[in-house]
Amino acid sequence: MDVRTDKISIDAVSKQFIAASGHKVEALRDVSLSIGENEFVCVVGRSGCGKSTLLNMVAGFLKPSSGSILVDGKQIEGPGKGKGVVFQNLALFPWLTARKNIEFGCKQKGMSESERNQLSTELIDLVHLNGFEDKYPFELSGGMQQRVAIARALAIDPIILLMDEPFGALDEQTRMVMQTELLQIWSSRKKTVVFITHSVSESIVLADRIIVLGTNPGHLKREFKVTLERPRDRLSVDFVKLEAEVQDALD
Amino acid sequence: MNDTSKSRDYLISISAVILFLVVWQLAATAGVINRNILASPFDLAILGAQQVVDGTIFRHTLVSLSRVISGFTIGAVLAIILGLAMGNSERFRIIINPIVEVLRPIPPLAWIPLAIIWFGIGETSKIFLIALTSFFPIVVNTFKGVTGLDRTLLRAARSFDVTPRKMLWQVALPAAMPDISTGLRVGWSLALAVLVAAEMIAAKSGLGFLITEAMNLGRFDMVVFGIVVIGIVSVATDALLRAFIGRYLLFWHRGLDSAGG
Amino acid sequence: MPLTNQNIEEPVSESGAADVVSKSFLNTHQWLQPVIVFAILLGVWEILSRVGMLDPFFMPPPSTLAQTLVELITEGFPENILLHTHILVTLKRSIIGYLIAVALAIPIGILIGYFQVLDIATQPFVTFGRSTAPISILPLFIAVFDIGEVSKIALITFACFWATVTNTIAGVKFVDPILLRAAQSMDTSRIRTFVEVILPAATPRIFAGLKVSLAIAFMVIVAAEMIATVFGLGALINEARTWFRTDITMVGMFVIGVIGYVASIGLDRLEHRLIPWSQASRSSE
Ligand SMILES: Nc1ncnc2c1ncn2[C@@H]1O[C@H](COP(=O)(O)OP(=O)(O)OP(=O)(O)O)[C@@H](O)[C@H]1O
Ligand SMILES: [Mg+2]
Repeated sequence: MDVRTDKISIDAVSKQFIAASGHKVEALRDVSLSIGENEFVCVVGRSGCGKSTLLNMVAGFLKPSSGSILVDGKQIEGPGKGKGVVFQNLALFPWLTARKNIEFGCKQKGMSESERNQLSTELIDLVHLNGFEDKYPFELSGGMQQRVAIARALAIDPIILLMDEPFGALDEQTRMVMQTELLQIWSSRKKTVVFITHSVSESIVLADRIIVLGTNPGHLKREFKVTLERPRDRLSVDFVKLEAEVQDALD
Repeated sequence: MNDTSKSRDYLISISAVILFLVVWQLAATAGVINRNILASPFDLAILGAQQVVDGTIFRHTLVSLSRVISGFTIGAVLAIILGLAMGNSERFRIIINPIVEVLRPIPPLAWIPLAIIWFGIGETSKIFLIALTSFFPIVVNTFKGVTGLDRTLLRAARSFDVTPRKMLWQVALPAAMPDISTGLRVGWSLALAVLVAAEMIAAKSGLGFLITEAMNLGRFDMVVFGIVVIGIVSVATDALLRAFIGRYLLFWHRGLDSAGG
Repeated sequence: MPLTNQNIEEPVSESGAADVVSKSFLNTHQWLQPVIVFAILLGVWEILSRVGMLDPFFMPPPSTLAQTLVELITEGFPENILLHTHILVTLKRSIIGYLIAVALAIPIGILIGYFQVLDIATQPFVTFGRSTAPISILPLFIAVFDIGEVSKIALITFACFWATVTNTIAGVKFVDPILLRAAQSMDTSRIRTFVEVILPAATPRIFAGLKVSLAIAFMVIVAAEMIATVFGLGALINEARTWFRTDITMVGMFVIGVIGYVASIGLDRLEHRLIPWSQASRSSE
């Protein structure tokens, strides 16, 4: 493994919410984590342990209640600026077709229409949405919508890619194809990826490092370095062994 | 939202209202607006005080309110029963739904003449009109609520061998309650507005009557006062109704959110 | 066995072939059901009138109503004002008032919805305005604009304004925050977020406001026409009452219902055209 400089450093971050009832909900407590440049990190943990909260803080949507999050050694100032996000509940613009959704970010950058068109065509190919590019989100299946959301995040060619259970609604087949595509993009374009998933095996297929969050309140429970050679064989002894270990840490 | 920002909001709202009243008063005093038509806030306050002291306004308000309440109760009960029946019985739906759909586009105020023909200008015609006005929004929403029932919810209930009767009371009705509540609120505010119109066109008492009478006497300060009272009654009763719904009908629900206008 | 049971889910497996056949028959002939219901209803109504069980003064039979409709079209009432004149007068008043209201309410609503301070400051006024009984304002408008057309149009404008403005404010204010986040994550400027996210996201609610307002316009104009005019459908049905012409009142109501129905269908179509993507959220309406 090559030594990397820190791309994202999360330092003693805690987050509390004030729930509608007025009570304080402690979502995360004292999480510290460094993510290297071009590293692929998967975050796993029980539902409600604060995975999305952590991701939203890195994305710049939420401010930590205490602690700090640095990107390239600088305090993050807000969303955007090279941080692409795939949202857990997708957040596709319902009034835009799949293609227009994908092109949205490039349009903001001022890319010309023909360039945009070419890029979105490539991405539509990549996520296998040919034939559906002119459909509105409500006309697409859950899995298709998810793929639009992924393509939209990739379209702005982000340096940091933050993905919240992006493959959750996909069937096993498509999911595996998408995993391969994602790894392909990651290794060819060099991005730092934070990827939330509920699937332990998915995290092992993808990650350089797996972060296990514990619940009540959310905290850093364990870390696993995944040193297996890519592409990873799900049936290999080491894979299965690691899978059991991570699963164990989760329970 | 925390307490400080909430009180800040109140402060802004109240200042806006005060500013509005001050500008209005100044405009009236300076003669920019015709005081014979639009009385100044100060004049209105005095008029209001008189009316409150001699009780006239309460009498008219009570008359109007009791009309709306009786008509609304009849309309709502009928609408909920019919709506539930339509949702649960196919045969019933086939017969009732077309009739509802044909009558629904007729605006309630257009029923006023017919109501007078059928029941005269007395209480019955007003109660009929109000019942009718509240009926349509409630029946449509109830029906929508029952038919829009979450299929998985139904299936879940079935899998527990719930009897049809229990199904109605313990699954269908509670699940339709948010829609029914919407219907109730829409029906109520519509009913109030319709009653005022009906009272303006043919009545001998009530807030609508107060306004027409004032108009005929050229007392526009009374007209404005009447408008304000109707507005207050409407806001207050809607708040009451909302509290009632939240307390007794939707207590299990997350509370009424601000959706829907 | 119910015919088309869409309401409560039936297991498909047991129902068998006969049920499938009857279902598809009824699905292709669904318009038949209400037609049959109405045929029976009108028939019974007619017969009850003929045998004297329904007083024709209170409930004129359908045959009379049909004749009355012809009479209204060819001879007119009152003072020989033909039906189409009434319709045009009513339509003109309500459409002008409605359009003015919409032209005012949408920009104002967008402003209020976008700037939180404005929203908080105007909330008492909006709540109050929305709660006033529109007709109660009529005397004031008559005093200001006199009893003619202007006061009626002003009344429609007033009545429609509140429903449109409320919905517009809500549309702009309650944009799904996740969509705003999505836009932020793609470095969208404030202005472009407003134009490309907030405005389109608000359109379904604005449309809902337009529909409600149209119904209000129609309701209010009919009532306004009952006061001091002989032109318009409201005048028609109220004049007829004072002349004990129940048949005319009922036909007039029918015409009002048809126009209201056509107008709301028209708006539905327009909505479908302009914002096809909101179909999903609309189908529940
Ligand atoms: N805006 C909020 N207001 C109040 N509480 C919140 C808010 N957002 C999250 N929470 C709470 O914080 C905790 C963590 O939520 P979060 O969405 O981060 O979980 P998660 O790990 O992503 O769960 P899942 O796997 O189900 O997506 C939960 O207890 C949740 O109820
Ligand atoms: Mg989550």
